[in-house]
Amino acid sequence: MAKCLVCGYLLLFFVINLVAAERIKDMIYMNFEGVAACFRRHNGTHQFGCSSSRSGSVGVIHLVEDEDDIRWLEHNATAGDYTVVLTFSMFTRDILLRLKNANNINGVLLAKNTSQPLPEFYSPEDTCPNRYSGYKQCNDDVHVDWNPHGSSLLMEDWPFPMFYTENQTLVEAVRSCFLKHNAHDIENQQYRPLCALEMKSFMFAAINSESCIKRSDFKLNFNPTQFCDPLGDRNIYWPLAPINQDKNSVILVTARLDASSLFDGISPGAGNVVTGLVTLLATAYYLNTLAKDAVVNKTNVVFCLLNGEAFDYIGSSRFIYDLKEGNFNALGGVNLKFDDIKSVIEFGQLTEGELFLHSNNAQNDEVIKKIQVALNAKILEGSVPPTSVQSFLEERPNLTAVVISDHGQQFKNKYYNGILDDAESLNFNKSDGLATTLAKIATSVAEILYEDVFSARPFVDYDSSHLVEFYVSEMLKCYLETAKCTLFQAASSPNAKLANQVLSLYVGVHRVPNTATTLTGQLLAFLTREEVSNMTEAMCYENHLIWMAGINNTGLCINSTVNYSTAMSPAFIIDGYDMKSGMYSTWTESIWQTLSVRMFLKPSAATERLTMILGSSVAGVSFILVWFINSRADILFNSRRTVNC
Amino acid sequence: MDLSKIPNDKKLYLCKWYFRAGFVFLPFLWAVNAIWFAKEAFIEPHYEEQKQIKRYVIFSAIGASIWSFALLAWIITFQTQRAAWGEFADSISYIIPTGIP
Repeated sequence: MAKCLVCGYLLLFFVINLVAAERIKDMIYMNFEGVAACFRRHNGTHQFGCSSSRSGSVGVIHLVEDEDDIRWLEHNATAGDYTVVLTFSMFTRDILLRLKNANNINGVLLAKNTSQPLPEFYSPEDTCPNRYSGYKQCNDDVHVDWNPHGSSLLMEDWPFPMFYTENQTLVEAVRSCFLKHNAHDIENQQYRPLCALEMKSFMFAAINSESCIKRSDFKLNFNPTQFCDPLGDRNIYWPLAPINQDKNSVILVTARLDASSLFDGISPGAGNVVTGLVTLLATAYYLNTLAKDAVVNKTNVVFCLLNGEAFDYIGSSRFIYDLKEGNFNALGGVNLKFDDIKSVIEFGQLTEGELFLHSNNAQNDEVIKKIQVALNAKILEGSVPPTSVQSFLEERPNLTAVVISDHGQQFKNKYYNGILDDAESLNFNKSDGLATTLAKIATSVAEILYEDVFSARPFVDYDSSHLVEFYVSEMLKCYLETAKCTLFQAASSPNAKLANQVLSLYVGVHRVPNTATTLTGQLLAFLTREEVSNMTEAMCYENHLIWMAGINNTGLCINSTVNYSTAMSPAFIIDGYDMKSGMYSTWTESIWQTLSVRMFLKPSAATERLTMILGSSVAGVSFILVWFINSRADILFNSRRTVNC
Repeated sequence: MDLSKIPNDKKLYLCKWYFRAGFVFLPFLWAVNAIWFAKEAFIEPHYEEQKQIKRYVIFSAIGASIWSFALLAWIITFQTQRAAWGEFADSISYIIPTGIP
């Protein structure tokens, strides 16, 4: 009996061992979690970004620390294809172009070393963002370098995959594997097994937007492959008062809602987008509190957050297209027209310090004059920074428009549209100055707008203007630190799960709703809410109102006039639009299946050859053997009894 | 089917029908015919239907080779020029490869 039991235990032990054994795959490869990939995008004429080969690109790791390493890769490297591991100091245009021309590079891993200081500057955007679109394009005769640190890495088609990681354990693993296997006796490294990386980021789209959209629409195939999707999302609007049925005069207050970067899922856009966006939200909030019971007579104010602006002004160009076509009825179902726009005030990049007003046709505009005085800003007449206002001025060059920003003819932001444009680069944790500055801009602009709309000075009490600063600093936390924050929680439905990470402000593809847009829309609704009391959740929904958690998570029924409109470029809805005409944004993003990186020990070329030769010989010998046995089958198996047929 | 076990007239019948069916854009049938009956047509000792079989085998072989040359030429042209032809090439493709022009 005892014997049986022991046998049973033994069997159980073996079975468990068999089932729970580490798979061979896991013994060979080390998978990298939390890496961000560079992916492929297209416009009407070109291809940008990165892609691996179909089955993944494999390269021997080489840690690049200085220029000598690059020279070594160009001239002395012997072990076939390499994957280069870089830090920000080496992640420059010059180095990457040299790697591109070296022809033996099969991947780039950008590793952030947290112990090193941030680079002086890093902006993968063009020196003139959105160079070929808008009102004042950057031609050769009007040479303006808005973004002096721009390296145009985003505007290049890279022949190798690129990944980014800030996970220090991974970086350390790569480094130690490199030092252990690759670094010593580097001249003869091809004769031994080497540490290598395999990057998989194969992109389906190719050539340009036109051809990949056509290929996606290809109907002959029963199981058509998707190749790419147009970029786009939603714009957000909030009118101070209901729009009139017939005649309107509207001051448009805008800010942009999206940033971009080279890597998937990381577009913090702190200095580029968040500051302006938060200021707009605060302005809307404060103007709403000031104007609680007042009645609008002549001028109205519409706040709008435009999406996809980093990609040739998708949101603003669609907004204007809808206005012109008479299709814009996101505001209470009333058709607003382009002629109804009296002036445009845009919040650009804002930080502490001197402010600038990039104004156009604003000499006689009272509102803008007052803003200039209140903010003690410097007026730059006729200057049009590369932002949403370009679209409005392109449609009507004599429109009164102003961009409030912290920069003159060149951005102060050193990380424009880069992955480092985050809380750290804004010095957000160290000072409250930013919140104070933004709150001051918001209150000043809101009070001036109030004066203009209601022709009376607002009643300002200390508490409410103080509250603006509180909200600004809370909102900054939401966008810069983590989306799991008080205000986003309050503006979501009760017990909504929010991701504990910084929101990516990349616009994304139009068929996937962007979380950042949704949360921002809800936040705007929360800040400009009209509370409906004595409502349960069910009653609230029945009356088509919005049920939110509220600050104390007690539940709140609100009535809001915040609304959305589609922000997808008109290029994709106009029949027979010429994608090469350059009139509207034509940006698309490629489809991909996997994005992954893994590390393994790659055998030397000699070992690989030996394996191949051995395998082929075994196969060959077995063929011969089988043929031989078959031909002598009757002798070997003595099968005389077989029936003749 | 073992050709050595069927009567000669049946062989001719088979060979003839393989040849005829090849005209319905079935070059592979011609190739099969040419190879399958080659032994019958050229190596086997003389019999009455052999002359006709020989004729069908030769014509099948010619037809099959013309087809294969034409196909090969088209395949080489298409594979090398597909990217250059752009939209036209896409419109005559059933499966469009991903990730390349």
